[in-house]
Amino acid sequence: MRQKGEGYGFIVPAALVLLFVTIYPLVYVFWLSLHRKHLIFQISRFSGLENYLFLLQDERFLRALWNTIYFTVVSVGLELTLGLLFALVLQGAFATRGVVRALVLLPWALPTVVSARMWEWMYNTDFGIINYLLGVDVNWLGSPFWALNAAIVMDVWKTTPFVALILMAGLQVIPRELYQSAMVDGAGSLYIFLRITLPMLKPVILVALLFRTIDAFRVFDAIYVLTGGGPANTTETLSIYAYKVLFQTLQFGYGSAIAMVVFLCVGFISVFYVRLLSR
Amino acid sequence: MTRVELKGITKRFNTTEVIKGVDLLIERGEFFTLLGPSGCGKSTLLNIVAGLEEPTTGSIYFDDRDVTALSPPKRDVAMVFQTYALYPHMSVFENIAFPLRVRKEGQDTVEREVRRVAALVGLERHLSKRPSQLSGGERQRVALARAIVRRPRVFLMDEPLSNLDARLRIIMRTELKRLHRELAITTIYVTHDQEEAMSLSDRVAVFHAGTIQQCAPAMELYRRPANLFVARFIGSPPMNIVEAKVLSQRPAVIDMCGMTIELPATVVAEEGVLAGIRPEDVELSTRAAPAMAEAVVDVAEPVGVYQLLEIVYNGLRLMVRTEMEDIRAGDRVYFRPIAERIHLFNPVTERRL
Repeated sequence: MRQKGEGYGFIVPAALVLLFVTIYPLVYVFWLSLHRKHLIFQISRFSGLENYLFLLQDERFLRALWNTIYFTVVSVGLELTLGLLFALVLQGAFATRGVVRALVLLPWALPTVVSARMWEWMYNTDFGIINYLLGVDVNWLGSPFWALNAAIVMDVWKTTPFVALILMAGLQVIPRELYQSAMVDGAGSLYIFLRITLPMLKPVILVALLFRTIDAFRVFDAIYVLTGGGPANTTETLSIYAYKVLFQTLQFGYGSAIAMVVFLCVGFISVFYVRLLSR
Repeated sequence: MTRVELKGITKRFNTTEVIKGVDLLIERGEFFTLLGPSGCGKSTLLNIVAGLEEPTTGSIYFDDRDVTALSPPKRDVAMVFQTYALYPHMSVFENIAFPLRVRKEGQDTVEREVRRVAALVGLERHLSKRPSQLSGGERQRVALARAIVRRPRVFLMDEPLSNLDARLRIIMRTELKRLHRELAITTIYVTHDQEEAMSLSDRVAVFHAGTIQQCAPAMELYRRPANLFVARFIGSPPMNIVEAKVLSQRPAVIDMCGMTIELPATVVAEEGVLAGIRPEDVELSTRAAPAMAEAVVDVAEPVGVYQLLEIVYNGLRLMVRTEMEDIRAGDRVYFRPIAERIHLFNPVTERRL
């Protein structure tokens, strides 16, 4: 006979693991964020919401927040557009399709640090291939205007394959008969794309957007390796700012408050997409 | 109404020839069926008529106009797919309206036409639903409605009833026949189900291994199959095929496992022939009678109005259909094939003699 409550017993191991690896750190970070805690000055006292109120006046934080949003919107937007384009092209049947797919995935397969170093050299003012090809003399990573956009270009190069891969999977499950039927009924390719392909692809697009938005919002290594947040903090994102505050200046209280902001933003983004998906 | 003509159609995928030269003439308003086992190329042929596939050689004519080079949208045909091919993200109304929206018809026309067609197939109550909320039969009706709303020159139907359960299939069959009578649009129908083909069609082309084996009105396929393939394929349960020896040609007498049968027609044949006997063309009795042979019932399958028996006579197994109900496996019966209804085939060419 099945004991009442036996089912709960089965989820205990998983619940314990989750408790230790996600719930406990989260609660602890929140707890830290309510403190004024400087390791260097040996200060540690409860300060309530002081850190959060200070965030609102911290121009470096607001700059980092804006950088993060700009980076996320532009890079995800480009990745989706290009990814969709690649997916549509790669879906067509041609002999070397397997090889081309593997090649397209290559940037995504490289470790981020490796590709960031590679791009750093490509962007180099004196020896970089980009200046050479364009025949210009721009200090891409040193210019406050170009640096963040340069980071976006690298991110788009690196993660468009991922978006293309997800969308390709989505395209493959659309039955061929739907296209054939629409074609027989007189629809042209643009009409078919807008009225059939795109709506059928919507759930997969949302999944790709969910992954990419969250990843882009937490972006750290790509930019940190490329520019270190410079010049003059113009490429500093929330994650980089939080890292610097936490581990370079050891302000555990204030750094945790920034980390909490990242967590809340990502939480809202997830809830928003999951809502859209389950509709 | 449109007359469809296929001339010398072949289709090759890489090195395999799927269609090996097909000539067909489908009359205006005719209900024409391509019947064949799966993989015989009949769907490919239908796709060629639709323009979804290009023939390797040959031409297609609609009313004497060559449409071979026209793209599917320009041929003005409507197609119903086995999987229905409904758009899952659109309501039933929008699914049916799709061909009209493509043509940019006004909202009034769309509204009026969709409702008219929905009424014709009995979907009025479901127009605002999504396809996923419908039963298989209802989805099938949506697919039909979407084809009908076009008022196309030709209907193409690719196994439209195959995904329905047996009961629904018979209901939809009747409905298709009624629709065809009311709309009188030339219809090319593809199926592997010989019963469906027989009951629906004006004419049937039996398709096998890329060629047309026989093209005739349904009953003629049944009464005078042109070759062994058609003989085996048409009729359920299938015809019994028995090796026989020709004893004399005039009068024609054959010997089947020691049973001599005198045939009404003369047989101009070699020594050996294949005799085809339909299960319903065997006279059966529980009492001994002259010219009847004794056999044992091996298997008895009651089907309702009749029983199917597998009887064994002198090593020969025959499927026999009888209306007698009180026969069981193991019983002794007496039988005689009805001589006038025996079909003879050449064992080498497999052609009808």
